[in-house]
Order: sequence, then structure tokens, then C-alpha cells
Amino acid sequence: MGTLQTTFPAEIQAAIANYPPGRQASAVLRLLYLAQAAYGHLTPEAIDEVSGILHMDPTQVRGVAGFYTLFLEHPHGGYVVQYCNDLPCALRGADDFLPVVAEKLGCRPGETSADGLFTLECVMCLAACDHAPMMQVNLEYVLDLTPEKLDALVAEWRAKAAANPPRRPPFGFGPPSEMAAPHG
Amino acid sequence: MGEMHVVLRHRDIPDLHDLDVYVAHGGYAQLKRAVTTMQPAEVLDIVKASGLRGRGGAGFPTGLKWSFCPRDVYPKYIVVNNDESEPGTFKDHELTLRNPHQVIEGAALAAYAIGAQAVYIYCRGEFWQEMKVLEAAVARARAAGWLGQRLHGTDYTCEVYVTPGAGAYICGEETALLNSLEGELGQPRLKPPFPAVAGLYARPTVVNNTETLANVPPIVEKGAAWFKAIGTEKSPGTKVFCLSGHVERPGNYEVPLGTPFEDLMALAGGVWKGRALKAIMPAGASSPVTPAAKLAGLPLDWERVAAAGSTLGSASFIVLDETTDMVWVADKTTRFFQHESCGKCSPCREGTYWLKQVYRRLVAGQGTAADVDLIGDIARQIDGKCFCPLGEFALSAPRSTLQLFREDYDRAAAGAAAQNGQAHA
Amino acid sequence: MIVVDGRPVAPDAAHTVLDACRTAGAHVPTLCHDARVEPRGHCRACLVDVDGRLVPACTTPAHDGQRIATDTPALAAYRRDLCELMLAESAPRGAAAALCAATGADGTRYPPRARDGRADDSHPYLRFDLEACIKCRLCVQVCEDVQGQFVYAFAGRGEGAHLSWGDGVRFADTDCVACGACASACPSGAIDDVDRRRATSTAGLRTVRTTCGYCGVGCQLDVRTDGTDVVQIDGTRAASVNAGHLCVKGRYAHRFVGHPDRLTTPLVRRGGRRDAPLVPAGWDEALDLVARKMDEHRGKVAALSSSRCTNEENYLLQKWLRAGLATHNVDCCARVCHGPTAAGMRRVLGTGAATNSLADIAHADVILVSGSNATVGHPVTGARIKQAVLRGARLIVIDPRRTELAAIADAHLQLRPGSNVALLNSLACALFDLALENRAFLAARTTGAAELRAFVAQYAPERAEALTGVPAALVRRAAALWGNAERPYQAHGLGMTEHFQGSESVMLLCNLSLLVGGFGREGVGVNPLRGQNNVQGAADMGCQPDLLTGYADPADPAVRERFTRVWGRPLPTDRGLTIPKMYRAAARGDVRALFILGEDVVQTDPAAHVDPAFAALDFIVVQEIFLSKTAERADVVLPGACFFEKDGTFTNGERRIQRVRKVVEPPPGARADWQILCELMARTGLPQPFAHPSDVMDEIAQVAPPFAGVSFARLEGDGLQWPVPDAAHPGTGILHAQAFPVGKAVLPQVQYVPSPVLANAGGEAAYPLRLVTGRVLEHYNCGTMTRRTDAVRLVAHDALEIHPDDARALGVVDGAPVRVVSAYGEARAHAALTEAVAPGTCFLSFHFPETGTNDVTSDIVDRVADCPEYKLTPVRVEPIR
Repeated sequence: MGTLQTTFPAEIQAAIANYPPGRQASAVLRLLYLAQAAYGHLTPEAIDEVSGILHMDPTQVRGVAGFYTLFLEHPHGGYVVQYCNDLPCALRGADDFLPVVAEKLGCRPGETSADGLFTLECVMCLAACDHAPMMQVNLEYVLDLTPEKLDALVAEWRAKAAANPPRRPPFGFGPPSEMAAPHG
Repeated sequence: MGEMHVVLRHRDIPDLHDLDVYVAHGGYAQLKRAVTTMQPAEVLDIVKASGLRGRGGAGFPTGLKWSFCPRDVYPKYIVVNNDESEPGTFKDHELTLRNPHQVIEGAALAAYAIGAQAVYIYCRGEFWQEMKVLEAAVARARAAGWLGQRLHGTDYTCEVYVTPGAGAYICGEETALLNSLEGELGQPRLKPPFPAVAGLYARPTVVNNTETLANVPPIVEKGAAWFKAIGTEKSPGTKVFCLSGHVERPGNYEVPLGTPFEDLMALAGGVWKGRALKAIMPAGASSPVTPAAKLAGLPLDWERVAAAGSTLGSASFIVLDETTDMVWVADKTTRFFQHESCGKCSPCREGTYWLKQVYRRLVAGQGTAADVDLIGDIARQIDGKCFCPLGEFALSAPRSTLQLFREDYDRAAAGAAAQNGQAHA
Repeated sequence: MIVVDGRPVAPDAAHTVLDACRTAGAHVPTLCHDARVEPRGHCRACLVDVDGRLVPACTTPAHDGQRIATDTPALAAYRRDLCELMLAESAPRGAAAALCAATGADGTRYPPRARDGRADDSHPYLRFDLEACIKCRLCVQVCEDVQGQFVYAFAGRGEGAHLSWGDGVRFADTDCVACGACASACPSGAIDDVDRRRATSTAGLRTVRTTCGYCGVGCQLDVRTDGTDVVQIDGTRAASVNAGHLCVKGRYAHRFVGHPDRLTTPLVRRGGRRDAPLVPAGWDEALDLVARKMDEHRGKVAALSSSRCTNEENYLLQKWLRAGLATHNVDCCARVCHGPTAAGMRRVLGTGAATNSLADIAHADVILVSGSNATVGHPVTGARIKQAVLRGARLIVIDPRRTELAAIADAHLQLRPGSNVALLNSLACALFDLALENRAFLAARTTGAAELRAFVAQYAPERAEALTGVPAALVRRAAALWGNAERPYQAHGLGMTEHFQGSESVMLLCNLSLLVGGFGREGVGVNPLRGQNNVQGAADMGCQPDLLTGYADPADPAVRERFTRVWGRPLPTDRGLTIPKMYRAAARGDVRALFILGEDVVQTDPAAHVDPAFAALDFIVVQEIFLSKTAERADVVLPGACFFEKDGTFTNGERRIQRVRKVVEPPPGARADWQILCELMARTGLPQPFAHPSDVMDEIAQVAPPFAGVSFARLEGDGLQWPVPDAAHPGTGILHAQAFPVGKAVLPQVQYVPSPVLANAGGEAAYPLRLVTGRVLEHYNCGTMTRRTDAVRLVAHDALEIHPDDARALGVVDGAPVRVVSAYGEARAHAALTEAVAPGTCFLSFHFPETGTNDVTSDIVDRVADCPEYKLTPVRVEPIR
């Protein structure tokens, strides 16, 4: 049994049970999220394990993983920061705020910070245009960003990482139970 | 006209996302009444008679869409399109977080009307928290007997499942969404067959937008006549307008369709910083810009926004003030569509790539007049030639800005670099 | 009416706008269109103007009233610009390049940009140059929808979309089965193959349609030749058998044709001594010697005909033996493969051949594949089965190995080798238990249902489980699937026949179809997957001791009269010998001279049979294209021609007689086999008037009623499926539509009898593993042809498949050399550890002579039809240290 099956046996079964018998391929996105959480990112072994569980061809699964932007096929920081600078956010200054984010995280867009804690990505609209500038961090919304708010958050994340270095938070995308409650 | 909360009821009722609060305010009563006392056809007839139109963008009559499903073919599916990805759109985000049960009840009523026993709520991958909320809501409603097997002692079963996307705008297109839900690449299918005939797993399927379905419980409760009395004759009901960009108070505003443009802008505090309006994009990044001149006094419904040269779509108003450089706007939308092109057909895959190159030069102040001409050429190569509408969506901003705000392009072609959206005076 | 460029087209003549345009003779460019797969509209090259809108012709339904324009200035401009976009992202060759040139696109519209420059030439046959790829995805579609393989995917999206078979993976390391469908479909040259590249650089090629000479599927080939060499092969798109599809052997394994090892002169041993060397001789010397020796041993001669040769050649050989040498001692390798099928099906139904067409597979809703690794042995049929399953048909597989089909089956009954009869009876029992037998059909067309029901009760799945190793619940599930089928289709292979109870197993397969009313309709029936290209034909032509051409009974006076009239000689009166009996008679001295046409019995028949016979025979003649292990031991070797080098016909497993056409001349010195046989017949007093194989077929039509309506003229195109009773008859796709030749079929009752091989020589204690032998995809039988092609770069030796648990217990690691020992002999191979075989079972192929696979197999034969039991030998496996 692979890392995914040993880590999330119940979640896998629950994911497949959401779809009619014989339609287990429908669970591929859920399983890729789980695999991402279990393996850290979608390694070839992760892809193979998902395809084995779902009786799909690995090439197909790899194609699916490559098509969607939330699947990461390479190592990334513990906090994946997805910053929106799409049109509506940019109209409210998201492009101007981007250098602030980069400076505070210690990495430019597309890069991972030297301490391995942050990966910064510029992404397309996240459906929170009324709270620009905004971002998702491991898929949790962080809205109405200001330099002060960002300072506080970065300090909090660094403290968490220092307190428990081996336990990197998965890139959100773990099982639903690991996710936080809805933001206020 | 002011706000009217048919679907954003949580704005008036605190904690409406909680099942007990929702039920205390009449929640799930309509589903129970329908399942225990009404024929499926009656539900369908009420929705048909109400004139409810799809809130996802196309504005297609919802009851009619349901009626295309063959009666005697089973299983059938309701799929909720909660893949809200159009830049400038954030209404379903609020609805599912704050009023999830009304969406679920609406979907279950739709399922009952067409004879489906399963509902899939497809959420864009970034809606992880929304999925959590929806899954918890479904679980609680099911445990309380509002959903699940043999509802209220009848033979009718309705199971609701939440299913994730993973980051792809194109999955908002209903056939791409179905492919994604089946575990394939999220790329559009050929139509026909339409989903009503062969949708999810090749079974009859209705794909409805989240906001559309949230309208269904009130319609079933209060009747078609009540609904038709709101809004305009051809565009009845309320609509959630997402206001973003250069407004004082960006956010969602639910108002009756047909509300004049100025009234809506007033709710959001008007154009920010006391500036004048240059234009809006009324349906997010995929809609042609509408200049301020055409907006004066414009009643906001599907027909009249179309008559003004754009589309109401999902009513995602990206507001652009007088300082906005339209080349920069088109560059932003072009980057978006180039990023989201699925790559299946060459006009879109290659056309959006070249559009992006041209705009990149123009916004960097390295463009030429020939580049401006090339935009028209590439647009012609994309227009009407692609597999799905994404190609044409990509052309809306470039073509409309070029036509209406040529001066911005001339400046760019003369070597002026855009400054983060601020046009040069 | 639809109007295309001003020309009217009837609306019912067209499904799509593209059909309508083509019907009207209008040229519409297409790149990703391929008739074998659903149109997808990816490439956008086929846009035409329909009522003022540009729409893709391939995916737009045609309907009455459309006005279509295919050649407008707007379309010309669009096509040119589309090509410019294509040239900006790729450097296409082939059809895509031709379209670019035709539209005037020259790659100057957009500046060139970084392209996917991945190239791969790791595979022996396939070649990749992704810089040419136009991303139309046709390769993905044909791989998935035609071959049912999933080698390719498109990765990335937007301008980053690219063809992928795995990041950083050499193509040779993928699951590709080298069917070549992608290369044949690719419009850009991004996917190519070695032959195609050779063909591109060779001028003046011509194309000849012929029938593949490998397996019994009978695929139609379009062979391109420069006049001296086979350059490149494609499947014939219009052929009903394969619709353009081919396998790795049919498409690529043709380099044996001009191989330097080909025999180009007769060889003889001078001085009548077996220890004298084989030396070159003139044709007259060799033919005279053969004629003299066969004459000398009259009454003690026998012949093995060849399933690799044409119908006409098989007909001539048995005619020579019967009319010229006055004996029925003629048999063919059907004996050692589907002889039990012919015997079993004849006994139950009255006809010993497939009841349906291969195309029927698409109409079946439940398919039962038993004892056949179809994707390996009959790849194009295997692909058809996979296609059907991918489209929703249910699949039941009976096989001791987890074959490719077993892996996708709804129920895989992984039985212990040798327990077929017990398993088939328990399936029948389960059908009765579930009350799923078709009572109306049983009453109308069979007798003995009640008796069968009582009989099979003793094989209740729970009891049979001890014999078969198949869980009872699985048997019941399979029975439920089968019993609820509307169109139950059976395909079976040598795993059913090559057993002690082979013929009886086939009878029980008939039972399973009779019980569910599974005969006489489209998509419904019992269909042996015939092994060799013309094994059906060799049997049809009468190359068996007990039946004449067209399965005529020599005991029937009317038959004797007919043959005597046409042949001008009386029929022999002896009983005739089957192959195993010939060997035994030879060992006893009752057969002295043996004529072998194109068969390598030394490698493929059990050595326990062959060796004593060869040692005792006075005279052995082998007619061959290579110096096979059998030819090495002959007294005279006559150089024949391969199927690319002569005219004639083959009959495939669905009874379809198809033309074989000469593509190239035989090597200098070799002769077409039918000509050699005519020479020998003349030299033994039976001169033949035939100037061409078509004349032979005309005589076959005279003597054999099932072929009465067959002539070469009528075989153009897709050929004819026998019976063809007269010259106007269209052939017969489905047998037994109304009645069985036997009338009401008597449901057979067969008791399971363990093969005596299990008790031989120390039994399970000494030989704890059960060995099954068979083939691999890349090679064909004794391998004389495929081993002389690049197939050896794909598979270079035989491998012993063994379960990892067994291997561990024996101290055998993957790839290690092992000795396979039975009570009869031993073989050597490399171990391949795989869970495809169950613990206690192992598998060995027989393509390489150095392996000695058939030194291990036993002398046990099917107790009805004398077919050797290749599929069960108790062995032990020892590592070679």
C-alpha cells in the first residue's frame, strides 16, 4: 500500500462512494488533492497510486493533474500563497501591493522563499474582488490586505513553523477535515 | 429602487447558514411540501411560469431547460454549477458560505421536478471553504431527514454530493464541467447531444447555476405570480450584482432586474474618489466594455444591456473610472483568457497566445501601429472558429476597447507604457 | 436537399456536413478527421460556410435545406491564417504541411517561437518529433478508441498543451503495443515510424492489397512496394475485418521477406544418408528425388499441410496425397490447435467453425472470452473486444492468467490449469440455479435440458471450487451476467482446446450458449479465435484424414462419386492418420516417408512425439522459406515463397475467404508453393492443368458445395464468408440462424476427468507447478519470421512467468536464468516475476528454439481429436546458478 492509502484510507473510500459504482474515475480530483497532501506534491509515485486505486491509466491521471492549476507537480513551500492580481483586484491596487507581499514573504512570484516556508504565485480571479487586495494561503482566504495585516500573519506563520518544524501544513488541499471554518 | 433579498436572505437573518435557523425561517418546508403533496410536473410548471432565467450568464429560461429532460429515462442528475470563476464575480461565493441550505433546497426541488435522485454540487477548487460549508450543511440536513432516502415517507430519494474542481475557468462551461466531474480533462464537449439528453455519465442532466437554484424555494413558496411581479416582464425577479473595481463600496447588491444603473451605483457609493465613470464591464472579463454614455438611465436587465452593446451575463460589474487605461484592461483580460484556454483547438490556443504577445508589447510601450492592426486580424481568426465560447470571450475586451477607446491604443502605439492601469493624462 | 457549392446532395446521403461536402465532390481540408473514431473538431481545418456561418464540417450534423460553401474568399483567408498559427507553433510535415503549402501560408505571419522540441527514437519502430505536432490529439483518440490502449495524454493547457507519454519517460518504456495506429493517423508527421520514413524517401511506390500472413484474424494490408522489397504496410481502411487497424506483427514484422537467411535453392542429402550434409541441388534433381521416394514408399507416406500456406496449396497437397498417392494420411496443424473446436462444435451443432463475424463483437452486450489471450494472440480482435468493453459491454474471462482482457473483465475466473470441464459445468449449474436458462430456445432447438440440469447439479460452484480454485460466488456472478445477456458472444482460444478434454470443453462452451439462446443472431454465438492465418482454410480444404474438401465425408457414396469424377481417380480406402498417429506409425515403421509443407514441428510439436518418428523415418521432405529446426533434419528441403510472393486465398477465423496477392517476386531460386506441388504431382503421375491459383479455386468450387459460389473474381474487396452455395450467394455471416445442421442440438453431458499428465512421473510432489505454454504479442509461433525482424529488439527471448511467491520459495529472482523440468524433458528461460499468474501456475512461450519449450510438454493428447495438451504440464522450476 502506498503513502496515500496508508495516510487517508477512510477519505479515499468516502471520496469514491460519492459517485455511482463503476464511476470511480470521478473521484480523481479528490484523490489527487489527498495524494498531494500525503506526498507533499504530486510525485510520479503519487500519480501511480491514484491511478491504481481508480483503475485509470497513469498517463491519463498525469494529464488531469497537469490540466488543473491547483495540482502541484513540484516541491513547494509549506505555505502556498496565491495572490490575485487579476483585473478587478488590480483595479484596486493589487499590482502595486504585490511588491509588498513579495518583500514580506521573501520570494518573488513563482518562487519559494529561501527558508522553504513560502511559495508565492500570482493567480487569476479568486471570487473575492470586493476584498482586494486578497489572496489564498493554502486555500484559506486572506482578505483586505494591508502591510500591517500581512506583517502579523507572516509572524504567526513563522511562529507556527518554528514550533513544529517537521509538520509542514499541507497545501490546503488535504482532506476536508483539516480545513478551517469559514471566514467571517 | 433599493435592495431586495430573495437569495441574499442571510443579510437580513443572522446565522442563516445554520440549519436550525434556516428551518425556523421556513427552510426545507417547500421541499417537504413538494415531495409530499405535489407532482414533479407541478414544481416544474411553477418554475416555468415564474419566468426564472439562468443567473450564471446565459439567461436561459430555467423551467424550459428542465423540461428538455426526457421523462422516462433514469437515472438523471442535477448538477449545480458552483464553479464561479468569471473575473469580477463573487456572488455564489457569498451564497454558498452564508446561505447554503437555500441552494441545496433549490437543487433538491429541481431534482424532484425532473425526477433526478442525485445532485452534484461542483465547486471550483479554490472554494475549499465553501465545500466544507456545503458538505456540513448536506450532512446536517440529511441527518435531520430533509434529504436522503425515501423523503418524508415517500418513495422519493434525493442525495446531494459536493464535488471539487481544481482550478480551471473553462469548467464553468457546462459540458467541460461534466467532463471534469467524470474525471476527464475539463474540456468542452461537442453539442449536441445536450446535457439534458446525455449529460453526466451520458444520462439526462440539468446543469444550473447556484444563484438560479437559490431562487427556486421562494418561487415554489410564494408562487410564480409573486416572482413575476418583481423585475421586468422578460427578466423577472431579483439579481445579485457583483460590483468591483472603481466603486466606493464593492460588494454584492441584490436588486430587482430592471433597476436603473444609477440606482445600483448609488448603493455602492458611486465611482470612487469622486471620479467620473469611463466604462463598465457588465458581465466580468468576458463582456464587452460599455461606455458611460450608454449607461445613463439604463435599466439593468438582459434585453436592455444587450441592446446597449454588451451582455448582462452574471451581472458582474467591473467599474472603470476615467483614469483607466483601456489597453491595460484588455491586457489583463487577455492574460486571463490565455491562461485559461484549454488548448484543444488551435484558433483559441494560438490566437490567445498571440494576443497576449501583442498586448505585452503595447503595455510595455514597445508596441506599434501594426500591433494594433494585428489585434483585429487575430480576433477575426478566433471569432466564430473555436470549439467553445471561450475564444470569443477573449475577444470582448480587446475588440470593444479598440472600437470605443482607440485613443488609448494610439497612445500605446506611440510608445507610452501603461502605469498599472492609470491612463496618461 | 442540401446544396454544396451549387451542387445538390440528398440529405439522407450524409450524416455530417463533411459527408455532404465529400458526396458533392467538394474538397474540404481535414487534419484530425479519421473515419475510425468519432469526429471531435479539434483542428478547425474543416470549417466551411453553412448558411452564412463558419462551422466545422466534421462535427456539424447535415440536414435538409443547408446551403454549404466550401470555397469562399473568407474561408481561404481563414485557412491561410489557421495555417500561419500552426506554423508559428510547429514545423509540420505530411498532410499538415501540404495544407499549409496549399493555402499559401509560409510561416511569416507570426514570428516563430519556442516549440516543444522533444524527439524520441528509443522504440524499434515508432519515431517522435514533437516539433511537428499540431496538437490535434488524433493520436490520443486512436490509441484509446481503436487499440484500447492509453499511452498518450495531452498535458498542460492553453499554449502549454503538449502530447505526453509521461515526463522523462523513454517511449520504449511505455505500455505501447506498437500497433502503429497513431503513426498511421498522425497528420503532422510528429508521430512516424521507420517504414513510413523509408516510404517517404522512396520514389515510385505502388500499393498492393493482400491478407496478413500472421494470425487467423485475416487483417487486410495495403502493402507499399518499390517492386523488389516490402517498404511499408498500412491496414486497409475499407476492410470489414480490421478497418485499417493492425498489430505490431502485421504492420512491422515484414523484414524477414528479403532476409539473407531465405532459402534460394533446393537442398538434398546425397547418398541417401541422414548423416550426409544438406547441399544445394538443382530443382530437377530435388523434385525427381522427392517424387521417386514418395512413389517408392506408396502406402507408407504421409503429409503435413501448412496453415501458413494458401487454400489452393492446401487443396493441392491433400489432392496429391489422396488422388496421387492413394492415402488419407494428410493432416495439418489445426490438429494441434483448434482440431478439438472443429470436433466439439461439429458434434454438438453440426459445423465446426465460428458462427459469427468479427464485426459482431461490437453488437454483443456480454462477451465470454475463454482460454484466449486475445490482445496478444489475435491483437486486432482483442482490440475489438477492448473497444466493446470500453463502450459498456460486460466481459467474463476464463483464464489461468490475468491477461490484459482479464484485467478489465467484470468477472475473471482464474481457474487452475486443466480444470476447464469442471468450471464450465459449474457455470451451467449456476445458470440453472438462477433460473436464467432460456426455456423457449431450449425447447425449440435442443433436447436434454432436464437431463443436463440433473447432471450438472454435481458441479455446484461450491463443490467445483475444490477442483477449479475459482470462488463459488464469482462463478455465480459470472453466470448471472451471462444469463442476463441479451446478446451473449463467446470467443475462445487454445486454452480450451489444447487439453486432454479439449473437444469436450468446446462442447461445454456450446452448452453455455445453447442454455441462453445464444445462436443465430448478430452479436451472438460461439467463435473460436483461429490461430494461424489459414488454419481455417487448411481444414476447409480437407487437410485432415477423415474429411475431404468442404468437410465432405469420404464414406458418403455421393461424395465419392463427385470427387472421383473431378479428380479422375478413385478415393483412397485407408482410414488415414492424424499427426500424433503419423508420428507413432513412423516410429513403428508403418510410415516411411513424410512430406512437411511449411511447418516447424521440431520446435512446436512435443519432442516426445517428434523425435522417435524422425529417427525412424526413411525420408523427410520439408518445403520452407527458412532452414527451420525441422528443415535441418530433412532429407530434401524445397525453397518456397512467403505470402507476399504469391497469389491465392486465406480463410480467416470468421470463415472469410480473402485474396492473397503477390507483392514482390520470390527470391531468385525459390518458387511459389503451389507451383512446386503441381510439379511433384506431375512427376508422380498426376499432372495438373493449373496456370494460376484462380484455376485451383475453380476446381475447389466444383468439388466442395460450401465453396460452389467462390471464384477469384468474386473475392475482390472483402471476400466471401462460406458457405457460398452458388455464384449469386452473398456469403454467410451468421450460422445457424434457423436451425443447426444436426437438427435439435443434444445438450452434451461431460464428466470431468483429470488429465493423466497430472498423475505421471511422481505427480505433484515432484512437479508442483502447472505449466501453460503460449505466445507473446511481438512474436509469432516458432518465430522463423518474427525473429528475423526488429521484433527481437522488443522481445529477445522466451520468459518463464512465475508468481513472486513461488519464485521466492525457489530462490528465483526476476530475470534470473531457470531450468523448467518435467517428466518429459527440460527447457531453459529467464524468469519473469508477475502476479498475472496465480501461485502454483507458470507460463512459458515457445518462440525461440534455444528455449526448448516443447521438450517439456507431454505426449498426452485430447482424447477425442488427438490435439496435444500444451496447456498443462506439471513441472518444477530450478534456478541455474
